[in-house]
Amino acid sequence: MIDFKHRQGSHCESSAAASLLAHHGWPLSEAMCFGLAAGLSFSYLPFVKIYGMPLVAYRALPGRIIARLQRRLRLPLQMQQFTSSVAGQVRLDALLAQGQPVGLQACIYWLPYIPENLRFHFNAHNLIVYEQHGDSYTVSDSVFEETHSIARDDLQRARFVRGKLAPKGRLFYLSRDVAAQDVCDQIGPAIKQVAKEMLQPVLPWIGVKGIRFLGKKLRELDEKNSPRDTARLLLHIVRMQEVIGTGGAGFRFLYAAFLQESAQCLQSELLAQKAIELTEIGDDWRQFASELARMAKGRAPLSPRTLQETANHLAAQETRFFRALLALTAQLPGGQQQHADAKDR
Amino acid sequence: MRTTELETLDSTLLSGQRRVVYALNEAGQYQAVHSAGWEPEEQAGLDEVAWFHHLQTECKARIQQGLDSPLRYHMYRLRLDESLLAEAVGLWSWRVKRHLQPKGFAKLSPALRARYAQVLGMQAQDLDSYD
Repeated sequence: MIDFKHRQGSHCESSAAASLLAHHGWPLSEAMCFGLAAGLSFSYLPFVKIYGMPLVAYRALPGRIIARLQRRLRLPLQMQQFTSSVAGQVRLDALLAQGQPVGLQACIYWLPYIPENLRFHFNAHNLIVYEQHGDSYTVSDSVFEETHSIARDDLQRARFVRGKLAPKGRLFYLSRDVAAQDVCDQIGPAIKQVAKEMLQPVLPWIGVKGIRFLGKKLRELDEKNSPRDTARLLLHIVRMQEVIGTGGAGFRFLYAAFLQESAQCLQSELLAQKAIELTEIGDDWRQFASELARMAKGRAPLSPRTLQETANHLAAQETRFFRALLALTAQLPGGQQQHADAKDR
Repeated sequence: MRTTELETLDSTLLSGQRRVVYALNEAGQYQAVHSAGWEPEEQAGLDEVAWFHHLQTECKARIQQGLDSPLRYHMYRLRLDESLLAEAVGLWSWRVKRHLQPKGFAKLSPALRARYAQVLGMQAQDLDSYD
C-alpha cells in the first residue's frame, strides 16, 4: 500500500506531472508545471485528420509538456516504450511492486471508467497507476474527482492500441525523490519559449499564424458545403477547444494562473497585469466557442466573415500580448542570458 | 473567466462528473474550481455522440438492404472511422475499404476476421450480428 495522493487537475499531462512531483517531495502546482514546460501553444494542422477533421490544438503537442518539464527542471524522469505488450505489463508490475507510482499514456476510448459520452479514440491521455490488486490496478486520472479501479486486460488494451500517437505502452516515473528547487530563474526562459513559438513559429500552422489560418479556412465555408458538414466542422473546433484537454478555453486560463503565480514569485507587478490580460483573451476564446456553437446549431445565421473576423481579432490580441510578454522577459531573472531554446524543440 | 461566471449545468456529457477549471475569484486570484460544464462544450460533445449514433442507425438500414457490411456497423459502434480502423488493425486503408463492402466482408479469411474482432474487442463469431 503506497501513500499516493490523488489530485484533480485541468489538463491530464500537466497534472500527471504535478502529482508525480508532489509524491516525490516537490509540491509544484499544475499551473507552474504547465508554464515551466512551455505548454501553451496553438496549432491548426489541416493534414492531421481526426475523424476526418483537422487537428486544432491549444497547447504543445502531446508528450511535449512532460519532456520539456524534465529538461527545464532536470528531473530524474524515466520514460519507456515497449514493442511487446507483455514486456510493458511486466515492467509496470515491477515498478508498482517497488512502490513507485507510474504515469501511463493510454487511449481514452478503452478506459471503462470514463463516461460513455466522453469516450473517443484519442491515444494521448495521461493517467497514473499506483497500486495493483491481483488483476486490477488503482488509477489516479486527474480529469476526475475520484480514483478508479481498472482491470488488467482493459488497461493493456488502452496502452497498446495502434494508430496515430500510439502510446506503445509508454510509461514514465521519477526514479528518486526530488528536493524542491527555486524555479524563479526558470520562469523567464520558459515564458520566452512560449512567446517565441507563438510569434515566430517554424511552421505557418502554428502560433498566431495558425489562428489566422484557421480564420481563413472558416471564411471559405459557403453554401457548397452541406449544412451538416459545416455544423460538424464548427462543433469539431469547439470540441477541440472545450471538451478535449480542458474545459472553457482552459489552456489560456491555466497559463494565466501560471503567470500570476510567477508574478508573486518574482514580485513583478507587470507580470501580474499580464495574467489579467490573458484572462480577457481567454474570455474572447470562450466567446468564439459560443459563436461557433450558435451558428452550428442554427441559432445564429452562418457567417464565415464574422468567424474570420473573430479569429483575426484573437490572433491580433495574442500577437500584442506575446510581444509585450517577450519584451517583459528581458527584465526577468535569466532573461538576459542566451538560452538554448533552439535545442529544446 | 471568473469564478462567478461558472454555469450550473446539469451536464449529460460529463455524466455527473465535474472538471477542474482555473478562474479568477473575487479577490482577483486564480483558483482551481469545479465546473459542471457549459453549453458550447455540452453541445459540441453530444453532437459527436449523436453523429456516431446516426451513422450506426443509417448503416443498419443499409445492411438490411444488402448494401453494407456488419463490419462497418461495428466500426461506427466503436466510434471509429475508416482510417482509424485501418491504423488499428494495421492494414492499408484500401483493403479495409474493401472489407467494409458486403462482398469483401463475405470473403474475409478467418485470420483477418480474428484480427478485426481483436481490434474491436469482440469475438470473431459476433462480427456478423448487428443489433
